[in-house]
Amino acid sequence: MKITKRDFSLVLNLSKNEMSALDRLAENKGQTKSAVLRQALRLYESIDLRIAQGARLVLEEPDKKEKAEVLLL
Amino acid sequence: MNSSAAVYSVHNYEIDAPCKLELIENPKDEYIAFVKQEWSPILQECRARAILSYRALPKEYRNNEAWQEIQSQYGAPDAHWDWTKKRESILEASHRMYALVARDSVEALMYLDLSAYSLVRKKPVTNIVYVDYLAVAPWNRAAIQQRPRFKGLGTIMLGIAVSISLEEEMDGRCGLHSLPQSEGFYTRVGMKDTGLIDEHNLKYFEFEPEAARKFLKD
Repeated sequence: MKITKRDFSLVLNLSKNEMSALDRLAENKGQTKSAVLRQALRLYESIDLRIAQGARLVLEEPDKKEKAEVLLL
Repeated sequence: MNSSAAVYSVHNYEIDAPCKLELIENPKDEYIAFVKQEWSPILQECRARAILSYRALPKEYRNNEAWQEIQSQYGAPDAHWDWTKKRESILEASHRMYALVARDSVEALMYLDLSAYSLVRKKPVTNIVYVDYLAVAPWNRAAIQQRPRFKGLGTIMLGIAVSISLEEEMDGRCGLHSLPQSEGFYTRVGMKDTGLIDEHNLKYFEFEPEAARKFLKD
């Protein structure tokens, strides 16, 4: 029994490089490209909200010496 | 009212007959109002009794372990959960709330986060369904009602979380922080006790793919 109903489909225009990146992500994660894009949407949605609420997104290098703030559009 | 995502046939022990439970995604105001009006007073009363019972203990026996034990006896460790606020915090793509409903009575609720990551499998970064909150109605708890109306609704809800994880190509991976009273249940269904504990002292459990599939099959 399917719990999630997906009533919409989307035509997405991508460049060769963008498609290649999506292919690679899907292969690395063992997921379809649709699943990767849905996950990207969730991630973007949750980070966007946190930033709108005043949070900062910071990436820390493994050696913890350098930190860089990520700015979202 | 919302349309149902699925329908389950579950035995109703109050009338001793099978009953249809509808699974409702992102339940509307009426259902959340029902929970506030019908669940909350019972849970608050149970919590008040638990507090009295705890206070009756000699001082030297009062500690977190004793409090958890008493909360378990009175069946309302989640009395402080505010489902109205939880519903207001839903992000459209990342979060989902599900209700199991018999006619207009909400029998169980669950809040899922689909933007979470596995704490067991970190490389590669692996998406999971995180069960943020899961609760059944007070009259479905043996600690509150001697003969619960429905049994096994927690198992059904967990099965729904696993099914969504499979549908979302997450291999059935699901994670949650368990209330102390529920740790035995999550262990029995095959979730891995990771040994991780959060800031509220709650243990983290996670379904790995094989265990998740076995759980669904059983």
